[in-house]
Amino acid sequence: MRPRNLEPLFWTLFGAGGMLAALVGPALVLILALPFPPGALEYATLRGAMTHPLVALGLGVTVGLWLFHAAHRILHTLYDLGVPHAQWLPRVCYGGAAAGALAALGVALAWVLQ
Amino acid sequence: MTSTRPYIRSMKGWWRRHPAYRWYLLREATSVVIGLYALCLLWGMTALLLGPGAHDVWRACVQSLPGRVFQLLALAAFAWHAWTWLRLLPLTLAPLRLGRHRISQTRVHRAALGAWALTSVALLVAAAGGLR
Repeated sequence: MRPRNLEPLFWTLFGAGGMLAALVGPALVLILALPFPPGALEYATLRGAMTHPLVALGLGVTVGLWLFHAAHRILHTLYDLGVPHAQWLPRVCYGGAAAGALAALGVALAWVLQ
Repeated sequence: MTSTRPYIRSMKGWWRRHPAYRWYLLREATSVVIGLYALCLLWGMTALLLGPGAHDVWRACVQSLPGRVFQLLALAAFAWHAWTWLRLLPLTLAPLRLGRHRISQTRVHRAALGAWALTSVALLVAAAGGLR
């Protein structure tokens, strides 16, 4: 059965992504931006971190939800700015987010399974 | 003949009418940076999977001057997002109750800020240990 309105689903994904962005976002950006500890972005170091399934899956889910968060907020801000409601606009926003989220989950699964 | 159509004020340039509208737009604009940062992370985790060559390209980009400027912008955007998101949280949640006692919005806000601080410290400590 096709649901009449997908808005509640998109709002939930937006909310979950917003919550994750608030709780772990600033710390995650800081960790990757700081040159401390030295060599943090080395190939072997990051590979070691990603082999932990919790890190890989957590990152995949986080990236996917952030994409949905961004898509929803960008779409509604465009509406607020006076962009006319066209059928293709939400399709591009949410379709792009879904493609990115699927890719992120796929890559995360590849990390877990290898 | 007189028109019976009501007067509707134009919404053109509404953000110029009040500073609060511009703060609202600044808050919404953080989502663009968050989306771009998510794509950057997706690229990074894919490149790391592909091998050292692809990872070197990603790392060179991240550590270049534009990459560093973008990360600074991302830090500001995420921080502003977190601050505004947690401030609005009590308004978007259903009223929380403890027995017959209603938990005040101030308490929910403080608990959310506490959770933010706790997760941030936990992540930084875990990264300092794990990335060594």
